Amino acid sequence: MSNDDRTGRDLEARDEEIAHALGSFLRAATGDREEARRDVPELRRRDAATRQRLVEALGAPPAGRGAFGRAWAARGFALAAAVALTAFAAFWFLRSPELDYAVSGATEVAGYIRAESGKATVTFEDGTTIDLAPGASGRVSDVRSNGARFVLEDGAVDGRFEKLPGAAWSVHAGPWEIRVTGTEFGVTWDPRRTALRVVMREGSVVVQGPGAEAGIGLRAGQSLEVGEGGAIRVAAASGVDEGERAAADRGGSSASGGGSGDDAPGPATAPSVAAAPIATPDPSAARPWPARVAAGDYDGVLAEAEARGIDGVLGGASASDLSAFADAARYRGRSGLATRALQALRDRFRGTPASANAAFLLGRMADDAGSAAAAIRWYDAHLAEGGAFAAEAMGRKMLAVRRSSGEAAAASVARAYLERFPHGAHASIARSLTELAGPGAAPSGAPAPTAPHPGAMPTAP
Amino acid sequence: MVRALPHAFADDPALVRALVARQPAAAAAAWDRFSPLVRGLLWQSLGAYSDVDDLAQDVFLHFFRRIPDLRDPNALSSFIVGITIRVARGELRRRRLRRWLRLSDDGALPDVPTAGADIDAREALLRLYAILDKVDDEARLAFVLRYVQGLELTEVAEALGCSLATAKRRIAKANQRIAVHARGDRSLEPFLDELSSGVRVAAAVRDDDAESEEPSYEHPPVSQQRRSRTSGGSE
Repeated sequence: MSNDDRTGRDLEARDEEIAHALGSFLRAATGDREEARRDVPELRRRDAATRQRLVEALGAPPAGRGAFGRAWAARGFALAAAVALTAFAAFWFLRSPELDYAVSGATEVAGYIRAESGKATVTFEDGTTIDLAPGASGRVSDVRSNGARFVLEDGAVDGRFEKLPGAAWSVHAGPWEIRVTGTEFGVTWDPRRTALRVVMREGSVVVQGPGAEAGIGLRAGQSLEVGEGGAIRVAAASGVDEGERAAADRGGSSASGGGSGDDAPGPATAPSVAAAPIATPDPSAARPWPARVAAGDYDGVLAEAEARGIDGVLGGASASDLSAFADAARYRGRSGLATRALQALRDRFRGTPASANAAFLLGRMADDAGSAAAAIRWYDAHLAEGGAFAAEAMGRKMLAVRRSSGEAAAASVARAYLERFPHGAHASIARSLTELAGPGAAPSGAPAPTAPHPGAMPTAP
Repeated sequence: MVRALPHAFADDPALVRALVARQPAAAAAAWDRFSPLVRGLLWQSLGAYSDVDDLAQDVFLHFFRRIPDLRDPNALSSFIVGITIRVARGELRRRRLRRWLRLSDDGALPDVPTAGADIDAREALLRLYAILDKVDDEARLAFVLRYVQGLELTEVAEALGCSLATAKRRIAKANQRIAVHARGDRSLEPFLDELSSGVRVAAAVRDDDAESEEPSYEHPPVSQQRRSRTSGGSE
């Protein structure tokens, strides 16, 4: 096995480990959610109502309605048909059943194909075929309903791409992309010499790459070669050299040479390949910060805040934006910035849920920094203000008290926790603490902490 | 997450016979037995965007209509899994259409009602669903069936209605896409770090031993180092 194979398989194995870990996480979350349903009366009622409806549905006679029902059924069918016709184009546009394909003559692993001593063939369900010469290797990726991408890693392939409406295929070789709509051609790529050869047999393609950013159109009977040093040479099938493309003047031109009257795009249409990427405004920039953080755009939010001025953001942003900004800072390890944002939330939006939640997060940050006393004071603030994370705050407070003051002191918090959250995430630890403490421990139901002034709270380091 | 049959129906073939005969008690038994599985699978596939309870009802209505088509009464679980996947697939497509037509709010994600869940887990869950939104529908469903439901590859293929080779490709595609995004994600990092230490932690249950492994906000994400990919394999 080559080093590349080994590396590729190691990455696949690692990807699968990650998938297993995330699958376990989601499975556990599902179990917790299902268990939580039992404690929510409204959901229990909803389940009971659904159960009853299904019982009635199964008990009802099957679809053999009387004349009245049939008339309404006919009207309903006509309306449904009209809606279906109207929506058909949209669904057709949006559907994404991938083209199925089969590999013969080689083993395929996650789309990666290597032809060993004999030829290998990839056959797609629309009739498109890609033949790999012995020793060639590549990968099928980005499979869609109207095409796919084939990445040629080494060696030679011959492709016959079915010309169907809307077909979109491409072959990639190193930095080169060959865009195909319906054609037959061969591609050879040598990654060691970065040498490319494209031989057209039928139809046309556009070849795009270094020095040919606008794309070079090729027709049946033409060939293109890129040698070491990047010189591009286009020749006709007869071997007539149609010109070497100097590096300086390759922008926007296409291969010259006679067309054969086929419906391939001629030289004049080669610029249909975009000559330069069109700058589009970053679509993420207009989205609210909470949405961007939820989508993982932490750096974008932080950059935008810095561009606007941190002090201005802390003093003028909305509560939701400040919360999102604080989250982005936490996730990027900028604890000082996160602390400032959370403190600003507390100062500017006192008495709101966002302020209470900020207290909880400040407690967590203090906890992680090893400051149990500060963490406990923040958790108490969150609890006193009726925050949304009461269970977490009390559980974490219990653990922080145990770390700083011992198990006996933590037992009183444990009892209070069990009274409020008997099935909570920290219930098992709470029970252990109360059992250890025994009946002589401090009584439960300790007085609720009062909310200290935000300014008196210690800041996280 | 399939509950044991009540006493009235000793096994799946008995339940199937009763459903075909349209006995109301069979509907109740089917609901009691399979509703956690169906709800769970819908929630895992769709997240909090959709009304899972309504979709679960749709699944059962389809299930009752199509039960006469079931050839092997012992494959009742697989049968309802297949129907659930079809309903989930349809919902994913409808969701895509709503976004395309801008019929739905594309702003902040709805809250995930996980009562009592750790805030880390809640945020990680939101992030995981955001990543799953980046994966195409078929690969997403393949991931859920394989790694969340724990089905064998042949079962995944059957539920998706495709060949075994296609199921494998979809799973591999999902793995690639999910791993690329998950590696650099701060919220998911604790769950991946626990993978490397051999510890599996449930979303809402953390004991004192695991607490000491919680991430420090001062440390940069180690997983951001793992970004290199082999050439030629990009999508």
